[in-house]
Amino acid sequence: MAMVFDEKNFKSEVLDSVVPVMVDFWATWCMPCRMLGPVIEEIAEESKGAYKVGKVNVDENPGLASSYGVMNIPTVLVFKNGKVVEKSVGVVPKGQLLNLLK
Amino acid sequence: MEKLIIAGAGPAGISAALYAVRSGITPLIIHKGIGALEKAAKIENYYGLPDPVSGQELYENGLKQIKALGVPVVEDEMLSVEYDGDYTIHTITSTYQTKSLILATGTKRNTLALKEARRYEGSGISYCAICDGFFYRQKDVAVIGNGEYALHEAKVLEPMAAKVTILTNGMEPTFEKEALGTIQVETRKIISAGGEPTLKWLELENHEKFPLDGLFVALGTAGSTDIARKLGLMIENNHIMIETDTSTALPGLFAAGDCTGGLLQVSKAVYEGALAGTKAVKYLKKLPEAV
Repeated sequence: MAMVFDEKNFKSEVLDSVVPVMVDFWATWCMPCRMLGPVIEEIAEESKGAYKVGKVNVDENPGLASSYGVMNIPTVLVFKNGKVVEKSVGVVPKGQLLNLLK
Repeated sequence: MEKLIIAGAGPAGISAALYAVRSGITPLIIHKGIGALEKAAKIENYYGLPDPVSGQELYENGLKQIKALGVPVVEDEMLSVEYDGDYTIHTITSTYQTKSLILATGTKRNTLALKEARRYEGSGISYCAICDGFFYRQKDVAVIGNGEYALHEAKVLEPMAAKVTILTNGMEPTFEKEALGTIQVETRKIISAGGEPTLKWLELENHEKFPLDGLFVALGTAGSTDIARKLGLMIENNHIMIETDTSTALPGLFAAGDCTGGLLQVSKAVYEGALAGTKAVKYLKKLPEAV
């Protein structure tokens, strides 16, 4: 299952992670986010420890969204060694998201 | 609650309605007048027309044909669609609820003609006020467009943003000006966009800078692609991605005709419409409260 990232655990789970981390910025009232949700879950299920996948609720963590320049949802960011290396905006096919982790 | 609403009355929408009514479900058609057919002086590449007819004539014949079968047709403009198990369609004059929806309103010819558009997608340009308005609380935003759709998006933003301006980009506003409230209107043409790292200004035709934090795109009318994007369907090259049977990722939602891309031809629209009408009826008949 996709992890839940928030302002408290973001540093330890995302920035300090030794494996790449896919972060899905979303909100409950955003219909496209709800459509992308199951795809994010699938990617999480298939990770087998090679990477982490988690979600940031922008309603509850507006600071995280603004720190990383998230201005549209859904936005998916991939972090490597504490830095954003990939960004994808909107509902995109699963393959396209998996490519961000390569 | 309607069983089936078909948005669009071109070849795809009318074919969908024909197949639905023949299968026992009378749909409601909502449309906003003639679409791409208006520009077709002669339809010459369609089966069985030795004497070509005009697009206008074909469109009128389609409407006549479907009305003769008792299918209700409403002329209105779709503004937004919500999904919560059923579909709620907001138009300029009314609200409809339906179990199943076929999007067949064609493809929009007007896209955002700003060379910096792609660069600012995700960093200041948005296609969904209801999704992204949240990020612009107490900020200055603009909506580009000149119709009721632009006004609708501006109204979504009005309670959140510090200032909302509708930019008509040189076009005449066609929305109800009485409904503007605190929303402002700027009619000058937009030449370019800039700002680092996010969108911060637009350059107007007299080289005056228009400062803003976010630009929402709502050109023309809310087309099938706009509606689909906000429902979270996948869009590629401004077309709705559908399965081969015209179904989408949302249950009961189908799309047909030009809005799904491929050949922008009457033949393809008719085929997809027929399929969508048939599949929608099949979907409805499988529902627990089978119709």
